[in-house]
Amino acid sequence: MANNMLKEFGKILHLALDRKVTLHRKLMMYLLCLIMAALGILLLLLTAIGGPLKAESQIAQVMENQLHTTYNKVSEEMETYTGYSLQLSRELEQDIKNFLDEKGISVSDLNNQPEALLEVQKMMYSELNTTIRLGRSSGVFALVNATVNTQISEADKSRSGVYLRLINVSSNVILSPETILFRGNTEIARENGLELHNRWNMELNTEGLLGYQELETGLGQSESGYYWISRMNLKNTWEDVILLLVPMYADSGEFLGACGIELNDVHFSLEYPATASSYGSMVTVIAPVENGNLRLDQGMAGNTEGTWLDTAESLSIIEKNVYYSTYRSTKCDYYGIQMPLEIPGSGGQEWAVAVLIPRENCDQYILRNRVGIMGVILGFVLIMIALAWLLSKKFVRPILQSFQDIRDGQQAGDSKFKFAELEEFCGWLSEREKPPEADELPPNMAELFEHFARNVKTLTNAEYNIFRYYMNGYEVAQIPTEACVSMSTVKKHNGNIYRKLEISSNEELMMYLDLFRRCDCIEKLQLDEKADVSEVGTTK
Amino acid sequence: MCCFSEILESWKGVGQTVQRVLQDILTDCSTEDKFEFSIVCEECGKVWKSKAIAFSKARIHPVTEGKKVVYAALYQREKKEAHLKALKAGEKLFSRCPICHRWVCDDCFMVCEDLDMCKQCAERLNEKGSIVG
Amino acid sequence: MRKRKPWIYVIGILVLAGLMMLTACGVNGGQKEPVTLTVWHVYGGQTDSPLNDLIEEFNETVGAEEGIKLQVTVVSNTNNIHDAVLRAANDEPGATGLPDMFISYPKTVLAMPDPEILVDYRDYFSEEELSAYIPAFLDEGEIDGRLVVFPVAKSTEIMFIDKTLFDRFAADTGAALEQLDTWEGLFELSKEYYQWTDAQTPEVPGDGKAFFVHDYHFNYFQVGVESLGEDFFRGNGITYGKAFSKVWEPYADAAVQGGVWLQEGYATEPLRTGETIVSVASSASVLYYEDIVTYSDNRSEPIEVIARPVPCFENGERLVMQRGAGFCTVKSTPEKERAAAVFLKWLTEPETNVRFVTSVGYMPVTDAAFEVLPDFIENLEDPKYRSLYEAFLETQSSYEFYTAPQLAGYLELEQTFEKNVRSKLRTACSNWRDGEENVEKLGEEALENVKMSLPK
Repeated sequence: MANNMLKEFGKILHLALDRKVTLHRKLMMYLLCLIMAALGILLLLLTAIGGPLKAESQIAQVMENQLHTTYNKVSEEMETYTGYSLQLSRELEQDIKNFLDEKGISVSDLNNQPEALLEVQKMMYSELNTTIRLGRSSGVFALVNATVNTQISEADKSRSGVYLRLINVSSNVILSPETILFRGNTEIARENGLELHNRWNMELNTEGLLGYQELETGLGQSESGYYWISRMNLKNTWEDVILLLVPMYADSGEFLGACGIELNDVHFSLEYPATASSYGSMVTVIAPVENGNLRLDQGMAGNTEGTWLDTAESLSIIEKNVYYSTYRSTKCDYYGIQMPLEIPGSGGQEWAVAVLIPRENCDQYILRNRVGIMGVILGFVLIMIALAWLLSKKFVRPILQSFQDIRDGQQAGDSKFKFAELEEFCGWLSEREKPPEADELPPNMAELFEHFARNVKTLTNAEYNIFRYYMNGYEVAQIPTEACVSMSTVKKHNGNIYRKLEISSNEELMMYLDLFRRCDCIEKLQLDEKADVSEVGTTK
Repeated sequence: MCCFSEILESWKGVGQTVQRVLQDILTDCSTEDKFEFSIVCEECGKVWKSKAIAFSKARIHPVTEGKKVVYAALYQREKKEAHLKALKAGEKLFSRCPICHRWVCDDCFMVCEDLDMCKQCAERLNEKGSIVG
Repeated sequence: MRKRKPWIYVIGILVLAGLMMLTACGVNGGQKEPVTLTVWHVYGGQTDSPLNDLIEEFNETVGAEEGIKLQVTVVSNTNNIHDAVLRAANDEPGATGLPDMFISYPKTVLAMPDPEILVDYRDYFSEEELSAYIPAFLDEGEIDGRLVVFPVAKSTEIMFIDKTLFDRFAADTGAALEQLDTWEGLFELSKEYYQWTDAQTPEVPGDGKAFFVHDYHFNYFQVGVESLGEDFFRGNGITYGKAFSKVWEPYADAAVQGGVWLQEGYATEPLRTGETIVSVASSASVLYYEDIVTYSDNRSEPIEVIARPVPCFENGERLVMQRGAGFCTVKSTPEKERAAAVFLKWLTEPETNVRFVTSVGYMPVTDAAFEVLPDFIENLEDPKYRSLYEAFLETQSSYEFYTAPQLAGYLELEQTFEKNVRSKLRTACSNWRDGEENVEKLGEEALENVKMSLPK
């Protein structure tokens, strides 16, 4: 069925295309192909130069979406942490103040007072325990500005306090996370059934708490009253943390101590998984910005799955285009975008959240994209060139063939001619070269004339009467007036005349008559016996 | 052959004397407001009416004597034009029988082998042919 | 000739479409990203883990070449990982998913709802490769005929001594390290030590300190009873025979009189605070002993920690608990499973394996690694580690290894026993401190209480 339809379609197509094509149309088609090919080459060049722009903007779009999501999440999380920390600091501040007031002492009087310090630590523990359970952070700490033994060396850096951490940060979502005592009196651990951390110490070392000493001396006070300490390794452990530190003050303005929460790198990497995209794995990082560099060594990285991102080094921006920046580490480069994060850093450090994709993956994607587009265009150009070649060949062949035919003595009117122009040209040539005598007409032409003349002889007198008007150069519309017959009569005769002369239209009739006139053989069409009767003499 | 031409010669003379043009039978049916003409088939009596053409100043009554004269001249001119148009249209619809010289409609005119003629003549001369209409 | 023209267009369009499809496929094609495996392990606890350093080394060398990256997300102890794995395996709400690889004892695998989710290492190791490993270690990791726990390091129990404090005690009392060769000697010293420390501060009575701490009291009884030639387990319970009494008596005697640490928690904790000076624990705990002790007044002093083989009973066999978890790999994609095998092969290469085990206090797992071990020990810088490996080699040469049986109720029994023994003796001890003088009676009462709390 479909096959039949296809055949039918083929036939129609064949018929449609079998009409003679003019040289002009062919040349037009040929030029169109050339233009298309040129267009293709132009696009190819454009792609080579600017094609990747599209891929780049796509990548940037994906990164922006990710950054936006991450930014919201990070901001929200940081706000939550800040909220809990401030709440914690308010509660603790009040507890410590009450405790000191009750005893009528100042915070420095707590030095060398193990029992009093233990009591303070117990207060701290209950607050910290609530905070770690509610706040979902990986650790919480609080310290009072006093030490249990001022005699030991480095006592000025040792401060009594409690540091609670989650045993397993990866399961911090369970209802009652298990905690471990990292810093604090062993009594606290024993009373609350906590394990001691493998790298437990009794007191907190303030050396690691950036800016603590300034707080102690009353020099440094962050505008917001709290600040984030950039990433540091918890001494002797495998974990890296950033800390939010909130200082606490007595009503007198005396510095009481500090408390805060910890954000652990494992926790961060679990919270911010790498996102797989077709451009490569997308990693989220938050880090302080220093001289335009992203201090990843001081910040936190989300899960680096699928990349070789090393969190121990700083990333410098080496290049910036409209869409994103190129970050360089010692090992590899990354494409990424960043956004300032509104959290106070220690010493006024500014933080940013960034999304990074390994450059290699992106470049590969861009390259693939470019090669793809170029491949398509190249294919197109090749096809166009092939088409142009074929067309030009087809264009030339019939011309050459026709020339050959002419050389071989082919004549106009022969259906072998492919082009109207050529046929006309040949017609003109043959006409020019035609000898004046009819006898010497080209054989096929003469035959045509004979045939026509023979047909004229079959016309009836009445029909010939009308035919004569045509012979004398009258138009159809003139005949009724001239012959005093109605138009219908003329038309009735016309029908018969056309049928007998084997023509289909008035134009064709005119063409024949014109040909006869040109060849000076119009007299061949006159009927001898009627010549006498004719009212109108032959013209010319 | 020779006697035929004689007959023909005699007919030629008759033809020339009695030959009538279509204008002769174009009847004027115009009124003050419009121009209209008619032709009656001389064989069957069927009436053909030309398309009525309104006088451009129809229904406008001239108030001054001068206008009356102008309108009258205008009427004559437009009528002449309408008459010519009607004649042209009529020429395409009526045929003149070469035998009896009457103007007949297509229903009464026959296409014959040697000479087209009206139905009546064809019958009378025993010529075969077909009605045009 | 002209009629062929439309087909050229058709072919052209087809070729064009083909090209487009090809490029579309190319865009989604594979990309070179590392296969990332998440790891939970126990080597290092919360300390700076040596295995993490090795994993980093792996990532930078073999991993970088093969496109494999390991990511440690949990370093904890086996108990925590046991809980976390079971929570994850049981899909408990709030639990994070299982990592790609985790360290576990066979007991954890036995407790999992479906051990079939673990990779059978035989799929990735040839028989020839496996023949390099010590067969007993491989046997331990076999569950239902599938090798699911892969040995990378094995530990034994070992005795650690805070030599600095011991020497101070010995100087006053004439105690000798050799007394620690037997349990009887150790418990005698324990009582003595309590009295000696109590006497240090005459103004505060009853503030004596414990001398000895055992990581697993359950192991003490288990190995002790077995070393005396009796079976410790009977069905899912315990045999309370002659041997058990012989093991119980000196222990309870010392415990009631304050010589044994009975609080919960690991053995490393009281040593860190100077609350005990001798411990028996897994050799792996060497990592958690610091060369420093911090007293309750935040004073700290450097100490020397030495290791010795665990004590044995005077008439008993020299038997020591051998433990050692192994790596389990969760079934996922063949790429990930293969990557896990690549890592394990690398970690158990003799050189890597010895470097690894000597940094965490374990024994290597292949014969080839054992051969290079002595050379390594000589080069160990930390005297604590050198001491440990000397004790190790001594243990290896003169002790038999005991492996706990794989009983379905083992874990529950261990936990109940551990908790109850400690708490019942804690009660007895506080009664003794409050003035109850019949030590024997207190010990017997405690035993009765323990028996009552355990399944029959």
